[in-house]
Amino acid sequence: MFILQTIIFLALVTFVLFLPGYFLLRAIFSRIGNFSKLEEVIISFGLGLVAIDFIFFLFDFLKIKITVFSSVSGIAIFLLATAGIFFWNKKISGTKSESKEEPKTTKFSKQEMILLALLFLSIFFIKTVYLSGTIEPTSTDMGHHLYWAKEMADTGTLPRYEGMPDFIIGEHIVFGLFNIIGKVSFFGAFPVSLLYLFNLLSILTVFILTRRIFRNKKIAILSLFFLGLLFAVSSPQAKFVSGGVIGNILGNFLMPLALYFYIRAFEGIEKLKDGILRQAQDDKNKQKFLALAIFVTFGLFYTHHLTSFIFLFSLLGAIIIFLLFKAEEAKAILKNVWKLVFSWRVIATFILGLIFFFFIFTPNYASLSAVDTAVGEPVKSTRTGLSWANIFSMVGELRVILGILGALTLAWAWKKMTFARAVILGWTVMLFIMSMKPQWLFIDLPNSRVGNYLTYPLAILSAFLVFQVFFKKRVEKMKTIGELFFQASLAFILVALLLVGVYDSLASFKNQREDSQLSQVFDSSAYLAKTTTDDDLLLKDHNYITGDTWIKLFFMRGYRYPLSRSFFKRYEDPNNPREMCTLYMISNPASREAFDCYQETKTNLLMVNPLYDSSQFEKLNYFEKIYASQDIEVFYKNK
Amino acid sequence: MKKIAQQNPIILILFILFIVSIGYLFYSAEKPTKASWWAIYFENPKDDSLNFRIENNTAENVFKYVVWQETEKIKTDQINCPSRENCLVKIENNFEAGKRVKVDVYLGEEEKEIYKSL
Repeated sequence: MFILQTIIFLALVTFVLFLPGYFLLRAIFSRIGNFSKLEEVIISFGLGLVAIDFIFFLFDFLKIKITVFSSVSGIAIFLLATAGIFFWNKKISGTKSESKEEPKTTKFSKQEMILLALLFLSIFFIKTVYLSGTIEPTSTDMGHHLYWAKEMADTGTLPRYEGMPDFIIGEHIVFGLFNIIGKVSFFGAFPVSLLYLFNLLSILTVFILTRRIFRNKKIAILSLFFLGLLFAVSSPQAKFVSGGVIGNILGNFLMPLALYFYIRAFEGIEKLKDGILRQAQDDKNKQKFLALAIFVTFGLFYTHHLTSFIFLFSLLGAIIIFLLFKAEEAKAILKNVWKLVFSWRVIATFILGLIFFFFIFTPNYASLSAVDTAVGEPVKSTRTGLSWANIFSMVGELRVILGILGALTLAWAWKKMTFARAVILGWTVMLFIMSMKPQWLFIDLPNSRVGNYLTYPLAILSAFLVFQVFFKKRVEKMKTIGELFFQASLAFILVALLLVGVYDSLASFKNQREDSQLSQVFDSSAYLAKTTTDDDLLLKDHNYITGDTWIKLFFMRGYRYPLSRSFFKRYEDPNNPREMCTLYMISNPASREAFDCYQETKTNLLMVNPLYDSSQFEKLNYFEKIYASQDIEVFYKNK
Repeated sequence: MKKIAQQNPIILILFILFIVSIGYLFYSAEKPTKASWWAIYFENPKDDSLNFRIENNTAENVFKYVVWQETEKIKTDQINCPSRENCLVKIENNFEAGKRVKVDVYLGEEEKEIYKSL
């Protein structure tokens, strides 16, 4: 059975994600030579992810119900349309290669191939073994997200999130489609497998991005080592996959992909004193790259607001740094940028994106109240800035040190500053400011969530530093004692980093355990979904019940159904006063407050862990125990 | 395939590793659980019916049960419920209104109870 499920999953990945992206890419770049094959594959998945979103926004706008037939037809029409454009362009322009640069920068030597194979093997091995131990549907975030994907599958329409700005449509369309087209179960391996694919793609995107930034294969391979292999399990890697942190995982894929296209669009812009490019074809290609960059940026805005916010600041930082380093040529650069931006391809893509964003399908967070929560003077302790100690524990001391040294080395070579190099610096600097000194930028976001993003640029900078120190061919044959000492120190740090990074992954495996409570949670949920109606209101406990956020998928009676007794600390948070009924009704059901709450909410079913919360109900004669297992008991309030 | 292997070995390596990994994840998800647990519940939780079900996910199969009305023992019996099955136990409702009826179910030394107020 698992073989069939695997085949269905792979077929879905190909049809829903890869083919739309690949066809779109070939429709835009009909002639070969602009990308290596590896780049084509990685980019196709990203473009496919965004293209699928736009296809189904149109479905929503045109009130077309999303069914197996309509979704397959919609994707097929898109494939046919892009294939038509491809053949039309090919007929006009021929098939010859547009560039001859590819073989030099993409061909790997035998040694490099072996190293890459070993790296990939290690990355896949560590992540797969970890994920196989956490494949059970227990994660809180995944349960919340998949409710919306299931709603999409059940109703055949895109979810409106009951007005909540925390959820964004791009996080759910692909999951809903997999269920609609392939009938794959939300409770099986597919959600984690799909997130795993996006996590791997994010690492590979950083690989191709690094190669483009430095035009160097060795630095790209080193970035794989720092991002993929070290801390392969810790956040935001495999732990985010098993934890169902969909927005971050997709954001960490789309953001480097968008940066990749911006870099391709503005590649060499500092070298051109007058006019954008010497050849019309290059000119056209750069406009296409910029159009794709904007397309992916809109995809990002439809997928994860935090990453989008970070992306905007990073891009702004890159532009400022680039212009500062190239102050003398700033006027000529801006002139070139102007000509590139104000081309029909770029403007048309931008306007189309805006039309979709404001008139076809507007994300819930695009409201003043949602913007208010992210912009302003931070007050909460979790938003006023991280300390260095926080950053070290979050990203790893050695990786931070190597990354910062890499950034300094990069800035030191200011004469070689390109837009691509400015991107990596801007990305890093802005993330440090956003997570450590958010008040400088007047932003009010959870710092730890922002700090997690540092992993990506710091991995690239660490790779750059290690290359500079160990692999760069020098003119002088002799090394000074200082250089040797620096190399030895760095080698020591690298060994330590390797040990810490791999130990971190190993330590994560120890915490895994098989838990029968989940089966009991799902069994009792299925029972209640079958034997109760919309008039019954269930309250469950979040503190002591595993996988409780998945309970709502059995009922599909609204995102807030069942009610939940949240973590105890949340009821004591002075900065965020909240309702207390969910606490009273389980913790002290005999109290006056609980009595009023029961009256007010009409709650009549309670799901609790008997080890912690059972005796208080057993003492009261108006509660009946209707379900009992080792870890779950359900009480029914009969009056 | 040979052509792909020669021209784009990285893609081939990634492709193979991905298929193997995904296959393993799907295998892990479908692997029969070793967890041993059982549950009891009323077939109809909201009416006066006392029929209940046993969800047996243990290796054992003999369940004993006792039915009480308040503190008075009304019935003792046992049922054979095979492993990995869900079995219905019918209890005739001859009880007095307003009384609490409790069902204790035993599997070996383990005991669980459910109850209703009629």
